[in-house]
Amino acid sequence: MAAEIPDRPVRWLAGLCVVLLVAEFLIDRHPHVPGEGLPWFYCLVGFVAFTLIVLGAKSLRRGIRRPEDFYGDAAIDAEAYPRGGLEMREAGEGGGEAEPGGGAGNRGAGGGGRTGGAARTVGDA
Amino acid sequence: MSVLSPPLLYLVAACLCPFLPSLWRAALLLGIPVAGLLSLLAYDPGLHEIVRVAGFELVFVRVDGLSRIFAIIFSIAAFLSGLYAWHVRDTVQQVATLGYAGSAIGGVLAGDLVTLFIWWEVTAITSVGLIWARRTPAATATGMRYLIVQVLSGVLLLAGLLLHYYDTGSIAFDHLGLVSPATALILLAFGIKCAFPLLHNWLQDAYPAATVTGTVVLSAFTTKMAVYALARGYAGTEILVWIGAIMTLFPIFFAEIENDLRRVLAYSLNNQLGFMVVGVGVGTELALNGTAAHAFCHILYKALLFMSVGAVLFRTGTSKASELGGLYRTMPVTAACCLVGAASISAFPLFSGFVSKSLILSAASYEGHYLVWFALLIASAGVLSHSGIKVPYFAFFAEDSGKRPAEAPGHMRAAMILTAFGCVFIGMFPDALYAMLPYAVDYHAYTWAHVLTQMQLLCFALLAFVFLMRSGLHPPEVRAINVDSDVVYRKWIPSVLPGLVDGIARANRAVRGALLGVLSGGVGAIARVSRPGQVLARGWSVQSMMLVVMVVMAVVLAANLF
Repeated sequence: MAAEIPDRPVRWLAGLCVVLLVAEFLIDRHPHVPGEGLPWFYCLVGFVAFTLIVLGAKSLRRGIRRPEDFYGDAAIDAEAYPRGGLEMREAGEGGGEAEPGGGAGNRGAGGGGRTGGAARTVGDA
Repeated sequence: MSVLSPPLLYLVAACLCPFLPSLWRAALLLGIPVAGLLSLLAYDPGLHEIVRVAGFELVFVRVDGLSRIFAIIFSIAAFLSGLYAWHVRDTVQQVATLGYAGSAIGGVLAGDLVTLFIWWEVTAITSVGLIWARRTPAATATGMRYLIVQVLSGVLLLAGLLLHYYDTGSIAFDHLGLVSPATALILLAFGIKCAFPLLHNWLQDAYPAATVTGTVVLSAFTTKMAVYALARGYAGTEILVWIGAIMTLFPIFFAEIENDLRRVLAYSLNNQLGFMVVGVGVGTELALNGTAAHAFCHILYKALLFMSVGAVLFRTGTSKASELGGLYRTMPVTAACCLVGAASISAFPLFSGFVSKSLILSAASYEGHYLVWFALLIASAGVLSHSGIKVPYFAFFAEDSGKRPAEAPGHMRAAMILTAFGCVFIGMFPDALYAMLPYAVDYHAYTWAHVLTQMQLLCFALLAFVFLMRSGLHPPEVRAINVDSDVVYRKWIPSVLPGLVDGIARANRAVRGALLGVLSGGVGAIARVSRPGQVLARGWSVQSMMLVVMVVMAVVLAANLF
């Protein structure tokens, strides 16, 4: 598990967090809600809430986990998605495909790539 | 009613659809939303398409600030899901999509409760086609459960509207408020479709059971039509603030441990509805703007997330986190679009969720709902955990599953990129969205303080994720399901029912046996005294009969004296 998250994005995230800790004192937050004005209120809520949610969910699972076929054939959990509705294909197989709406795809690809790059830190972290 | 009015346009197209060649049908799914949107925008604010039936005036098109923004986003969602489903040649799904989108648009444009009821039921009947189109026994059973709940909501709405008409003599659909049994019934009907806590199970049950493209369509309409109906009828109803707050919190835990990523997204959808319901409950202009804006943004990023997971399912045959991982290598565009959706739902600055969710949080804090505000803050960290991290991380990154699926087909990529573009555009230029909101907006999402606090919340939540993963505390994805409260009617009641029925039957037999015994004993006794020579068989003289009658009459007379 531990090796799954590469170090580089984690270092970026850690750096960003330090910046955010410092920025706290450079920006006036003008809080509305009682308690909101405590130093590093949002940092603390983010970290603690996330941790408690994950651990809470983990302990919840002990009570409610069941095998996939618990509901038998009245639920989709134990069945495979019917092949007829899919186009399962490995990368590099089949090659070119018909491209309805390809124009829109090409035009938007720049935007998608750019925004994807900006968001990548989210997923990698 | 004009055939060009948006709901009718869709329905006529749905009726024509089965008779057209396949390419035309796919084109219809793109063309009708565009035509419907143009038709909608051509209406001036006010009431249109009024039909008189049996003394009632049914208003089929009411255009005002609130209905317009919902009808616009429904049209956009119909178009995007049509593009995503370009490859589908299944007539059932195409007819269902057109009918469903049209009836949902009809629902938000309905000017009275009767019209609302009509569309409310048509959405139920048409949308189930998207589940049944999977064509497996499990999908048939799931679709039937879904349909029962949806129709139940409609029946409650009908009962409520009849009572309401009896009370007030009006079928107008304006502010109702929780003031009578009638309005409580209507609220319950809305609450079912809006997936209120304990009324929510149909959503997580049915949405993952639909087809690849069907889930994208389903995610947009039913629940947001219910949000619209709540905003129209129950703005400022205090109890909704609390219902909404609970809705934002409890699905997080289920989403966190769910293995099927499409069901994770269904729980996440439920949590996002909670934010909107809080907005309705707070009920100020800012809050209702927040609800409308959040519904708008939410439909886009939720569709985007369902599209990206759908593309993974389309290529790999599974959407289970335990079977996926490392797909970014061969599906980079899908992965990037999923990340945009994840960033949008998590409300990172520059993405759409940031500019809409903050309206609701601000409105809650301005009105002094501090506890609810805090719940929403925790829920925001929770959104990051399941939709922001879990979905993209376990599908596209994490441990390499060894799967090397091809990138999504061109039309799916086009749909995802367009939707992603919408999410980023709204995030960067919120004024374009704010201009469409029901009330005038005087709100600035991008203040230094707001960007700072949101980044602090999200980045430290991310840090917590890194901490949990590295310390091995994060729960692994396992092939299992988690039971929700629907276990009561899906497992427990069916499991005790045969025993219960058997017990009742046996008790019934025993009681009847005992009663028959008593009866035959009585009959036997009468038979004995009727035999020749016994009391009842003796001949009676007229005089003694008269005497008996007189005694009886005297007793009756005496009894009446007192």
